[in-house]
Amino acid sequence: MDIPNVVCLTIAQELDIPVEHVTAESDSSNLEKWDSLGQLQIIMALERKFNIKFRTFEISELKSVQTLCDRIEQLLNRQSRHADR
Amino acid sequence: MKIAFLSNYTNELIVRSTKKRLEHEAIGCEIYISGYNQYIQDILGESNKFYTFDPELIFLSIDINILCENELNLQDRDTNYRIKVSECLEALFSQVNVLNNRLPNAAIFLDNFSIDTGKSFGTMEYNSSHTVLPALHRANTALHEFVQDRANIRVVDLESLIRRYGEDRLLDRRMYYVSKCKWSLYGIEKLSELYVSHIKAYKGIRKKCVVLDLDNTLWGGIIGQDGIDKILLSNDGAGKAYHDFQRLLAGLHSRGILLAICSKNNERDAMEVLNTHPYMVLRPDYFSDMKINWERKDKNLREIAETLNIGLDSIVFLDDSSFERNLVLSQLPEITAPELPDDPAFFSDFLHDLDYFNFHSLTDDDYKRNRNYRLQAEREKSKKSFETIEDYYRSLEMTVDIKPADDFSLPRIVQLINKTNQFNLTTRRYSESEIRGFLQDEQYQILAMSLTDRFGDSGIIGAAITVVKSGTLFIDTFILSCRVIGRTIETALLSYIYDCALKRGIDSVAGEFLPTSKNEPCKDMYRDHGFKNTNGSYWQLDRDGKIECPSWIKMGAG
Repeated sequence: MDIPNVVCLTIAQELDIPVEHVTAESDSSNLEKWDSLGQLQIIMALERKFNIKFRTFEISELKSVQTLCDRIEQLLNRQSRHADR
Repeated sequence: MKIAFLSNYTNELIVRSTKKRLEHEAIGCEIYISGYNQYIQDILGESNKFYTFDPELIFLSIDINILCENELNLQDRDTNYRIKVSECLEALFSQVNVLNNRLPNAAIFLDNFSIDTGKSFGTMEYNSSHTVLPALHRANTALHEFVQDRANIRVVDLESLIRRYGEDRLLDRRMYYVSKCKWSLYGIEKLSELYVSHIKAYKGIRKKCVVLDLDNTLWGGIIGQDGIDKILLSNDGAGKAYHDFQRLLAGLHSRGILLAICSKNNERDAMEVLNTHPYMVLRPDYFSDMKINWERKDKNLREIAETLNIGLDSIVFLDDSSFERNLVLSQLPEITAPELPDDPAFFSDFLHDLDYFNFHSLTDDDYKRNRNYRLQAEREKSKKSFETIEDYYRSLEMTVDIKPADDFSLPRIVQLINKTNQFNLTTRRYSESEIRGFLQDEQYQILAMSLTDRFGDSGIIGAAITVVKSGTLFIDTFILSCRVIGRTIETALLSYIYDCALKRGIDSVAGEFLPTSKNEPCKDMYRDHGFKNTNGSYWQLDRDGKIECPSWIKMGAG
């Protein structure tokens, strides 16, 4: 799965903004609608799409496309390692 | 419509989801959200923002786990939960009373209570005098008693929602710690769905009729092949699933939802089951119309809609065959034809989950409606045996009662205003609070007309709203229930309005006909009663006119 693409698309959907406005460099400081409520919507939508769960302390910290992508990749890798065993 | 959401937790995501659903249902709304845990300040009016917003609906979402957080403390063995929880509730109820008194026309929705599993005493729960679940049951009973005599306050059954789908799916502990909102994404969706069901019920948005297939829908098997003693329908085993499904449909029928049959069978085979099978709940007199034949179902459904005088969009068609459903939907896309579960064991839950038959409050007329449709069929039959139409009218022994609206008639008037399409001169829809507003304005008069005849009491079947403006009485709204169209009853109401206006010294009465795709039956009402077309849709009758109540209609005491 193309993680960055799905992440950008999800952010656009949840914040109700055009997908072109979300790039690999986007974060909560440069997208106006990415507020604390938007953060929750993004987190919950990504958890559902990738079937993953973030840790509680991460939920309000993963506030950029880059950190989200990195963490999702990490969680997915861990899942597939479990599956391989 | 204006909706306010007050809460003791962060409910913004639930409100957003509710708003999205309302948009999807084409229900426009303006929304107020109280700040985090600011509901008490809002209710007590410390800032004017909330009362200036003047909501028509208020959702007050109180999480008892937060409300009684200190009281529901596991560590404290001496805590007397009963007393402490009931003190918290008393405070809440007194706040709701303030809200209700300050906004007497608003409908208030209160979530009932559910205790989070983490607060329970495990194996000790119910086995010690101060465990929490008994306190929860008392809290919900107290809530139920509190709303009993308060028509404007309704309970949202959140506890059943959690019981049905489970805490593990609906709640997310992480979200509670991050955002003071304990619901998961799925929980947010389910709760907002429940709120929207209440809003739709409040607005009277519901289907009017369930049209049913027979084989493998009301019973298992095919009557034409299996025979009456082999079909699945009984009081135990798999056949009970069909029996229970029928009982649930009978419940809808008692609330005024019409039932009809559209089935491909030999009529004689099917009628034998309907009349004689010992476990058949739905006997022929439950059905307002029956099409048991080999015609195409879309044609039959169209005829059912015509006979019952209802729109195709108010029909739910239940048929186990995807072929029939698809055929019907391809020809009549307005109809709703959901897919039944594969296994009849799930039919009852399926019917329960359909969001089509919800009520905000039930009026006596809802309970009477089905009987009235049957009586109408009898009236139609007896119509044929009279020489002149006047003889027929006379034989009906009609008495109408016309009265200003009061608390008893208002819910039914609101229902008529929002549901009537055919004999509705202006099709103006008003909410209950708008109508209560008219009642407070001296220039307005709101009339309710009820009818009794040889066959029984039809309840309130007509309504009108009039307003006096610069010496003329305008008929803003004029409505007859479709059940009584074609019986000259509109003349009785119009003559009452006209005579009262003259008595009050008003020199002219004016009305409007605003055509829609459905109100053709009343397009000539003003012309037929001597009104002159003055300007476009406007009709007027001055003091020199005369509208006589037909001699075959008796005016009640009023």
